[in-house]
Amino acid sequence: MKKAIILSQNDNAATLLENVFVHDEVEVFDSEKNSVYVLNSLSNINRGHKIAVRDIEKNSHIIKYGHVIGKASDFIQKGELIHIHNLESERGRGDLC
Amino acid sequence: MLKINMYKRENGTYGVRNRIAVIPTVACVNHVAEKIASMVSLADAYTHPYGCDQLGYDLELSFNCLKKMGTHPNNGAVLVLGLGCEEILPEKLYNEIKKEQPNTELIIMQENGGTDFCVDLGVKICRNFEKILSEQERVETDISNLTIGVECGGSDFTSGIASNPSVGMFTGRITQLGAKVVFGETTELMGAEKIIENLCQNEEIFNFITSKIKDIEDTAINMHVDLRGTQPSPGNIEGGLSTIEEKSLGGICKIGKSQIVDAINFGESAVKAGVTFVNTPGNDIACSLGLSCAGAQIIIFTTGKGTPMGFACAPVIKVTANKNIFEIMNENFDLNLSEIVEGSLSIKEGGEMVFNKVIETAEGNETCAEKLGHREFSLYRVSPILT
Repeated sequence: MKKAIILSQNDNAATLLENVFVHDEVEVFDSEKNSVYVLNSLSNINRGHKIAVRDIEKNSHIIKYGHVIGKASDFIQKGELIHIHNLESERGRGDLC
Repeated sequence: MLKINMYKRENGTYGVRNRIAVIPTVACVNHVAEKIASMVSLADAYTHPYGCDQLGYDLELSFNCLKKMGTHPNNGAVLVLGLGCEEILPEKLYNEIKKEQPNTELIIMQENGGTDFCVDLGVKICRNFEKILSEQERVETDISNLTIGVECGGSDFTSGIASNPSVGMFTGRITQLGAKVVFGETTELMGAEKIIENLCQNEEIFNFITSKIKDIEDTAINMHVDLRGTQPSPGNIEGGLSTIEEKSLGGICKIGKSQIVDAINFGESAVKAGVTFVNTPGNDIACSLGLSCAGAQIIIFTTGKGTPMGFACAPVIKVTANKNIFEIMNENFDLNLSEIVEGSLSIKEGGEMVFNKVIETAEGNETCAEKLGHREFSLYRVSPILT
């Protein structure tokens, strides 16, 4: 099983500690090293990139470190890669003005 | 109280190095400064592209930063090198530095001579400085005389989960011992405001910081650009960081749980024990300048992507928690904290490793950047070239 971590209990994005391929099983640990979720990966995801630990509705917030790191630009399914294709920053967006 | 050995300066500050700063007042004399520094082992050339075509606050800031470099406690002697027709007035800079640093000399090329003549003269002056400096000895002093800059650059996912939290543990420990810690990178606080609010000692400090973040955000909005592309950069994105908010939340971990006791502008000095915010860009060399002007004698620099850069007046300690880059750019790293990511080292232990490295660096051990000759410098320009 591949390893990922969340940094706060509210996080819906976990950071992968190793490369993951589609259908790999991923075990998510919290910062106290407790196992908190087991997921089936829906994407090929590089080490250090993020995986959704639950379904995330379009326009809802992505949480890491217990804080908002942006919003989902699409519906993100549990087990899917979260990165710049489906996670939008809400700060410094002069391009939207 | 923890004691360390440092060089005592006339103005009451303490240095962790005893170097000679060769400071050009204008880009036109950079080559001469570089030649002088290349022939004197203790000398560093503070070359920069400015000094001319500068006005108002921009000119004042450049002058002030060069003065801060001349009076920086890590320098035991200074050679001001001018051309003679620039706006950063060589004689004025020399006089301002000389007030605090008696070992200061001046060469103005248009009055003294051409390239070879001034190189020879500069080398003679610096060799004489070397004799004076070789007779100075470190004295035992309290750790509270240290100011440490904390900075990150080339961040990736390891920065926010391992190296920055370790620096955060360090920040807590050294500020409890009475030392100062300075941090900047204003852009990279965008999105971390809730954490900062809880760390600020009072509302005034928090309002200062958020107003500086807003200035940058307003600039991006007025330029109709998305910060993503530089914040996070292509390298940050490749390293797993998706938004500026994510990068900022990782960056602020360098402060840990320590209270922010003051907030100052670029070019100003940190005066209070504890953590001070300095309004600097995220740009690595400009941030290093801002932190050094604030008084940092050592800079701790965390990186996940890897960067070799040092800084002219302060030893830079390079920390990574990315095992791959530690192997690829091994000679550039002072500390490898990748075992935190693997789970076999705790953040507390990482913080201890940072603390021990800072103490040994303060007492004279060279950092990798110093050994490799990385002594980069630049000024930070705040207005466009008008003329």
